[in-house]
This record gives sequence, C-alpha cells and structure tokens, in this order.
Amino acid sequence: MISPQNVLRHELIGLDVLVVRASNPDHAGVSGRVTDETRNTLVILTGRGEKQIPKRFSVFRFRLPDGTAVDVDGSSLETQPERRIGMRIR
Amino acid sequence: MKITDAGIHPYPAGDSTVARMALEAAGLGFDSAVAIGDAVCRSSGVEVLRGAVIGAASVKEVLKRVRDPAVRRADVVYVDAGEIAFNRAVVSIKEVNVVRSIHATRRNAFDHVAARTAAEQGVAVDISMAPIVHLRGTKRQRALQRYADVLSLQRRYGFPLTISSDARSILGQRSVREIRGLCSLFGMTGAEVTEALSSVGRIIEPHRPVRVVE
Repeated sequence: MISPQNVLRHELIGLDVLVVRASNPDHAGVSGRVTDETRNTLVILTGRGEKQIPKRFSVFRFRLPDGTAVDVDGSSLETQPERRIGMRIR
Repeated sequence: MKITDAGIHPYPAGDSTVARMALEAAGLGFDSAVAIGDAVCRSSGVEVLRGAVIGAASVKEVLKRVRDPAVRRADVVYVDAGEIAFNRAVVSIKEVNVVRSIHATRRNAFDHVAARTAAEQGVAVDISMAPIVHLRGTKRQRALQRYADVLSLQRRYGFPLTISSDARSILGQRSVREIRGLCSLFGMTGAEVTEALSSVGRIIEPHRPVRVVE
C-alpha cells in the first residue's frame, strides 16, 4: 500500500499529481495524472494533453489513494523507475 | 516561521558581545540571529546560529576553504560575491548557503544565469542593511540600485533572499519594522521582507525529499 514512507520506491503511474515548483516557470501549476515515467521525466496527462516534466529541480505533489497529499522532491526520483523499487531510502 | 537576522558581527570582530546582541535582537523582534565568527551564545532570548564567511579571489580557493573544519562547523556558509564568472560558479557549490556583499559588485555581476542556478541549488543572496544605513551619496545609490536589480531577478527566478543588519554593535541593529522601511527604498514589499527574514530557517533545515502536506 503506497504511503508517505514508501512513495519514493513506489510505482507513480496512475497517481494524481500537481507540479508545485519547477525550474521552468511554465511547468509550475501543471496538474493531472501520471501516465509514464522515464529516468529524468514524468509524463502527466492534463486537460490540455500530455506534458513531460523534468524531475530535477521540481517538486511534485502526489495525491495518494488514501487521500494524503505529499510533496516529493523530484531530484530524489531521478532514477529509472524499475530501479527505484530496490532503492534504499536514507 | 523564524525571523532571523542573517548576519551580526559580535566581539571580537565587533564591539558588543554576542549575548548582548542576542538580547537586543530579541527586543527588536527577531527569533534568531546568525553570528559571524567564533562566537557562541548559550542563553539568550534568541537562538544564535554560527556563520562563516569565505572571502576568496578564486573558485579554487572557495572549494578549499569550504573543507576547513571551522567552515564545516558553521550552520550557515557565506561567500563574498565577485565577478560574473566567480558568482556563477560559486552558486553551484553544494556547501555554499548564501552569497553576500552583492552591493559591492559590478552591475551585471549577479546575472540571470547565476540567478537560475541559485534558484535550482537553493542558494540565497544576502541583502545587507549596512550600506543603506551608513553610506551616503552615489555609493548609497549604487547599493540601492544593485539591490533593486537582485530583487527583480529574485521575482523572476525565485531564489531565496536573506536580510542582514551586518551590525558590529547593538547600535547597528535595526528592528523588523525599520528593516521593512529600509527595504521599501529599493522596492521590496512587506511580504517579500517577511519571506526574506524567514529564509535562513529554510536554508539550514535538513533536506527531506518527502513531506506530508495534508
């Protein structure tokens, strides 16, 4: 079950997300659902189509299934999604 | 939200002891202060943080000085600003928290490239009240112009600002209300001043990649 403690190691595709802060000011405020993930970006399906947001220097707010909202530093997510599962969180 | 004076210079660099300056800061509305130098204050009205200033001619020297034990012990690490290339390099050094003495640099020494990097790395730029209070004439005007330039970059790129009194005695310390008035001289709003006064707390807090919001 996804929780604030394991969100860094969890699957993010399908979660509702809001870009709280980003290096590119045009990316801040983008919200929608995560449809794909690469090593350095998240692909978010918004009302206006898909947007690919870099993870580095961004802060994402994920809405977890139990209703909790967590702000996650994108730089901490910057690994291949299949490798993130086995990552040790410090 | 802790209101912090980002730079005071107690004895031996200044004329007043750190305890006396801490007491004065409490009376002026501050919750904490950064004492630059080796001063340690255990009991006072405000929390006293340790600050270390690196004044170096080259980036290589900055990289050497940040490994110094005295600098590593400090809570906040400052670097004196210099030329354009120096500033761009210094804001990308992980150990550096604040770039200061921006009023003494040339017009474009802190440019949009350094501003973007500072925003990405979370490095703050310090606004010192000392030039506004003590200088006169063209030097004071130049300092105000530099601060206005830094403020316009901050509004565009979002890097943090800190505000310091740079006081060497209790006579140089200013209240939060007076700082608000002084900062309005170069266009800073009350909300921006409050945000800048609380920046030091955010800079030194430990990095937490996940934070529960609601």
